Amino acid sequence: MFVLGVIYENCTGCHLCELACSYKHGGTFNPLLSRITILTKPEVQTSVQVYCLQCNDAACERVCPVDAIKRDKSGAYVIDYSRCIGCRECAYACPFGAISFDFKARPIKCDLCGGEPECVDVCPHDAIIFGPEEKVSRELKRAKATGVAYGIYGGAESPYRRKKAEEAENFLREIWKRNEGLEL
Amino acid sequence: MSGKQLLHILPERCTGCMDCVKACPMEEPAIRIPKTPGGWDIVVCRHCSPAPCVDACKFGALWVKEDGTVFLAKELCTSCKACAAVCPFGAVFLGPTGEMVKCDLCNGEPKCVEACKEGALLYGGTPDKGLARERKPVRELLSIRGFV
Amino acid sequence: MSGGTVIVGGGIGGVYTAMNLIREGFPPEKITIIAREWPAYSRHRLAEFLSSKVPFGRIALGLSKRLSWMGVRVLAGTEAISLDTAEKTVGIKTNGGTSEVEYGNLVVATGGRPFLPPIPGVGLKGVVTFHGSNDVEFLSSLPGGSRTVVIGAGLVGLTAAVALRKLGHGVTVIEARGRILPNLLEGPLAEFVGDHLTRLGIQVLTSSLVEEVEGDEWVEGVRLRGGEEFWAKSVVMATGVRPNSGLLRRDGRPIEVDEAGRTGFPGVYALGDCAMSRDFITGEFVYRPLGFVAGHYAQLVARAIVGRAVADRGVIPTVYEAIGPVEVYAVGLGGAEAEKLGVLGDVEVEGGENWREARVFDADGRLIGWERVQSGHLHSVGSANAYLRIRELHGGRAE
Ligand SMILES: Cc1cc2nc3c(=O)[nH]c(=O)nc-3n(C[C@H](O)[C@H](O)[C@H](O)COP(=O)(O)OP(=O)(O)OC[C@H]3O[C@@H](n4cnc5c(N)ncnc54)[C@H](O)[C@@H]3O)c2cc1C
Ligand code: SF4
Ligand code: SF4
Repeated sequence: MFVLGVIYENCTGCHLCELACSYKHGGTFNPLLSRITILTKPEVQTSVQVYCLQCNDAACERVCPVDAIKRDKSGAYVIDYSRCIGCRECAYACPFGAISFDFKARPIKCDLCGGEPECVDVCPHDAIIFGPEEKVSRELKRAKATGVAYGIYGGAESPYRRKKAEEAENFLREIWKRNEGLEL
Repeated sequence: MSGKQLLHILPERCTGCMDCVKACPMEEPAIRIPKTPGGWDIVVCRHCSPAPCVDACKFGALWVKEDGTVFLAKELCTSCKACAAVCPFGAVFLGPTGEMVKCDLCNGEPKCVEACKEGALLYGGTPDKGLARERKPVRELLSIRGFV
Repeated sequence: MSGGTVIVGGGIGGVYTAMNLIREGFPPEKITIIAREWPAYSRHRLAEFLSSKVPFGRIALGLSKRLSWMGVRVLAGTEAISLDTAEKTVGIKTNGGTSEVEYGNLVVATGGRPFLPPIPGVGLKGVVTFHGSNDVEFLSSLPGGSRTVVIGAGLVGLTAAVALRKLGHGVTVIEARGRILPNLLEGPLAEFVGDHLTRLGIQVLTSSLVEEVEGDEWVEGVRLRGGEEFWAKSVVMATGVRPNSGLLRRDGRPIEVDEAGRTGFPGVYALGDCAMSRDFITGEFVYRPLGFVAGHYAQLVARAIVGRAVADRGVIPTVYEAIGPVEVYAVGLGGAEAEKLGVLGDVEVEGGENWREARVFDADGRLIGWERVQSGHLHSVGSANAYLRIRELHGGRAE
C-alpha cells in the first residue's frame, strides 16, 4: 500500500502543492479548490499541511449515507459523484478537515491522483513524500531523528534537498497577491 | 458572496445546551439535538445537492433556491412524507399538527448559528476550507505548534 | 368549452393536476374542477388533525384557494354522475339539479372510498371509517376515555389508533392477518412496532377475524370468530381502500391507464386512488392508493395534456410514518408485494436494541426494497442509499 507522508518542518508555506492540486483536478490555479490545504501563520513562521491520510476504516467512508466513497486500487478513498448527494457528512466526519468544498458545494478530497500525486512532484522541499507504507514511515522517522520534524529544533542539517527555493518564493508572492484576503 | 451558502455541523463541539433549538424561529424547531452515547448529535437539514428529498417530492413542494437552500414550501406540501422517507438524516420532521418541518436557513441568516456559543454550527460560502482550520486534531496540532 | 380541461375530483390528484397544468403554461381559465368537497384537504394529516385538535384550516390545502384566485373554475359541491366519451361531456349533479359539462380533456381523479367488509353490524351508528374530515369530526366528539376498536392494522388503522390513544381513549386493534402492517413490513419489523404499541397501552390482536359488530342502534362492541367479545363505543373500519372508478367502469376495479395516465378513451386521463399506477421496479401496473402516486401522475398527466412527451418508468414507493414513538421507513417493494409481483429473492433482517432493518432482494440479488423501524431519532438511516440503489436499477439518476 502506498501512502502520503508530510514533514512539517520542511514546509515553507509556498502553496505550490495547492496550485498543482487544483490545476490537476479542475484545470484552474486556485488554492481554495485544492485537496491539500496549507495553513500558514507568518508571525510564527510555521506551516501545516492538512491532507487526507487515507485512514484505514475511514470515517468519511463510514458515514456516507449513500456509499459514495470507495477505496480504489491505489488505496485512496474516492468520491463517486454519480452517487454523492452533497450532504457533506464526510467532511464533518473527517477529524482532520481534509475534505473541503468546491464552487458547487460538492465535497472534494485527495484521490492520490490515481497513484501519482502531483503535490509530491511539485513540492520544492520534499515536505510531501509518497511511497510504500514502510518506506514512508522510515523516511518520517529519519526526518524526525535528524530533527526536522515534529518541532524538534536544533538537530542536524536536514538531509532533504532544498530545490527550486527561489521559484517557490516567487510563486508564493504571486498567490499572495492574487488571493488578497486569503487568511491561510 | 452570491454562490452557495453552507451550514457546517461540528457535533464534537456541541454541549447539548439547546440554544440553537430555542433560537429556531419555526413553530416547531427544525433542528434537533439528540443525545448520543458519545455526546450530542445535531440533526438538521444539510441542504444536499442533488437532494434525495427534492427528487422524491411529487408535489413540487421542495426545491433548491439560488443560494443552495433546499426549501420546503408549506403551501404546496401535502404531508405525504415521501421526503422524510428518503432523507438520510431524518432531517424533515413530522410536526405535531401534521405539517412537515424543515430548516430553511432563515433566508440566509440562520439564527441557530448566531445562537451557538460553541461554534458547533458555522455558516459560510463556497468554496470553503473552513473545516481544515476547525477540526479538533488539527487544532490540537496547531496549538501544539503555537498557532492558537 | 371545448379544448378546456375538466378535472373530476377535488382531492390531491385533481388539485395538483390543475397546478401542474398552470405550471406547464395551460391557461387557468380553461380548467374546471368538479369537486364534491371543497376546499381540498390532505388526508395525510387526518391523524394529527384528530390528535392535535388543530382547526380544519390547518389541514386544508392552501393551493385550493390559490387555484380559484388564479381563475380556475371550481364547481364546488358538485358531483360527476355520468360520462359520455363519444360526445365528450360529463353529467353533473348539484343540489339544484343536473346538467352537462363539455370537455376537451378529462381528468378523472375521483379517489377511493374505504372498503367495508361484509360483516353484520357495520352499518350501526358509531361505526366510522378513517378517510375524511367527517370521520375525524365524529371521533373527536367522543367523550374522553371511551373505548374504541380499530379494525385493520395498516398505516391508516395504526395512525388512527395512536391518535385515539393520545386523546386518552382505550384502543384495541384487530387484524385478520398474522401481523400488523402486513403489506408494508417484514415480520420482525412488524413485531417491533407491535411491541411499542403495546407499551403505549394499545391492545393489538393479530390473526383475529371480526365476526360481528354488535349493538342495536349504536355500536356496543365487536365479537371475534372465536367468540371473544370487546365492548366499544365506536369502531373504526380501516380495512383498505377501493377505487371510485364508476365513471369509467362498472366492476369496481381501478381504472387502467398507460404510463402517462391515459385511459383507453380519447382525451380521458385517470390518476390517484381511482386508477392503477406503474411500479418503477417491475414496470408492472399496480393499485397503490398513496398520495405521492397521485402526485407523480398529476405531473405526468399535465405534461401529456399540454402535448409534451412523457417517458416514465413509474413510482418508487417512499413511505414514512411516525406510529407513536416508532418511525417506520419503507422504500421500494416490501416482501409481500415483491412476492405478489413474482420478483422476490432473499430478505435480510438485522436489528439492534432500538431498531430493525430489512432488505428485500430480487432473484438476481439486486436491492428492490428496504424497510426500517426505529424508536428515537438516529443520526443516519439507509433510506437515501436504498432509494438511489433502486433508482439505479433502471439507468441511474437524472442530474
Ligand atoms: C388517514 C389516511 C392517511 C394517509 N396517509 C398517507 C401518507 O402519509 N402518505 C401517502 O402518500 N398517502 C397517504 N394516504 C393516501 C392518500 O390520502 C391518497 O392516496 C390520496 O388522497 C389520493 O388522492 P386522490 O386525489 O386520488 O383522491 P382523494 O384525495 O380521495 O380525492 C378524491 C376527491 O374526489 C371527490 N369525488 C369523488 N367522486 C366524485 C365525483 N363523482 N364527482 C365529484 N367529486 C368526486 C371526493 O369527494 C374527493 O374529494 C392516506 C390516506 C388516509 C385515508
Ligand atoms: S431534508 Fe434531508 S435529504 Fe433533503 S436536503 Fe435536507 S438533509 Fe438532504
Ligand atoms: S411531505 Fe410535503 S415536501 Fe415532503 S414529499 Fe410530501 S409534499 Fe413534498
